[in-house]
Amino acid sequence: MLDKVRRDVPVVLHGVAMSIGTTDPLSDTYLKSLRALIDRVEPAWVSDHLCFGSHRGQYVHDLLPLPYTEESLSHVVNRVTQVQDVLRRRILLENPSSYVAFAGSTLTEWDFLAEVAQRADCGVLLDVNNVFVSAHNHGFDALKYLDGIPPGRVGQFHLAGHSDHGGYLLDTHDHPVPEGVWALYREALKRFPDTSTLVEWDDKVPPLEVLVAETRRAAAIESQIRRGAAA
Amino acid sequence: MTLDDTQQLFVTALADPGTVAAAQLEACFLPSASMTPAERVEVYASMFLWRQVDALREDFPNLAKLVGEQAFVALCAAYVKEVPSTEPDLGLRGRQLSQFLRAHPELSHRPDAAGLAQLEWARAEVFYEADAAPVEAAALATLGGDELVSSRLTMLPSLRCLSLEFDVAPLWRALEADTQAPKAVRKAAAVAVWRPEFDVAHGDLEPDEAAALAAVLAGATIGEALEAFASREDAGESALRALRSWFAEGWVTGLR
Repeated sequence: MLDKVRRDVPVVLHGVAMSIGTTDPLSDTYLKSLRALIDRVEPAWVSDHLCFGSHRGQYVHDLLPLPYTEESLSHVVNRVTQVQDVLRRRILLENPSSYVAFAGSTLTEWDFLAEVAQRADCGVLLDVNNVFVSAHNHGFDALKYLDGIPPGRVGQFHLAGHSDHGGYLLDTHDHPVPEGVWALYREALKRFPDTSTLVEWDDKVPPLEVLVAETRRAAAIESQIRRGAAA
Repeated sequence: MTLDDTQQLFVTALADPGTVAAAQLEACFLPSASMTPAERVEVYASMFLWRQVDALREDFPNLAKLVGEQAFVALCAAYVKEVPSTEPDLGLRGRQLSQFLRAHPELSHRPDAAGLAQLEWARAEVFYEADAAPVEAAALATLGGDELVSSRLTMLPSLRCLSLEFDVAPLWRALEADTQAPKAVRKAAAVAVWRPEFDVAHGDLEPDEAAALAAVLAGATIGEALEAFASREDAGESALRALRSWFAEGWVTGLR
């Protein structure tokens, strides 16, 4: 099926299980399988998340945030370098949405991500909804986050919906993109123009036309921002 | 705390929350404006369980119907705790569930639940197997008698031959149709599971045909495999009938 799709349209590969930040050794089997898939599909780019999802051999099937410390930084830079060597290409790392913050963190997430991107020479997949969700949950300024990411590094945007659980927002991918996220997307486009956008909606999936309408809205905002920049 | 210690604490707080003290969480995690560190970690702990329960429900829908929602969640929670996931792919989470149920019959209250789980897992697993083009039975006509018995068959990658202690195929059918589950029937049964196109299929096998098919899948020659029919009065005819049916089902993808 994937081969059939690939014959007609470009494909990008987006993973959730690389567990790049774990202190376990990277999974050789996983990376080799990914490399084989890359060779077969020839994707425009490959991405995964700035997180860990396994420890001491146990997978938790989640994108757990890392403490943003110097130790984590050199660890993740080293891991991204290893992955890029095996895959023989630059990858994009996506900012996670998060619901905890670590007492030991000494860097902001945006400084951490920017530093990883510069030192490991990887790209950034900027999930605008995740910035919005984490800004709400941790009480930081989402615009500061955008300002902290180096413009030349952003290779893709993700947009999605989230759920309000009272004390926190949860990244659920089961709602339309909220107005606050659209507003932040405009700001992101001003800083990182000509960046591809993907709308994620993978739970309580609506009729196709609803999803298409979301992507059209994203395209319309991009045209508007581009016209504004040209004027 | 080192990065390794932090990750160990975080994963333990999700997988085995009772063993982590509130003070350890407070030392590692910050509160938010409205939530304590323990409440924030609980967001992940809840997703840790429910994401796996949902994945298991997707692969074992009829087991969930058989035991009921409450018992299904309880057995999944016990499984998640006792059998940690060692695969990055959440789709493989149910690989050991039938084995687990065999070891813990009290969790399902049905002696045939493990067999049903075995059938449902095979159905889930074969869905992801590679495609392969079947060959026609006419390919057999190109072989002489000796050549035929010494040849081996290459079978559809998705084909599985299951040996079950209970006759769970009627149970699966009843649950699939949302009708009353029949009583458990302890009876050795064999089932073939395969994916012809996009939909998974399964069907009962006679014991000798199951033995022949299992032999083929283990790499036996056609002659060796068809020995399984030797005790039948019409052994030759039965063996050829089974062989032709394998081609007709599209299970054979090569002769070598």
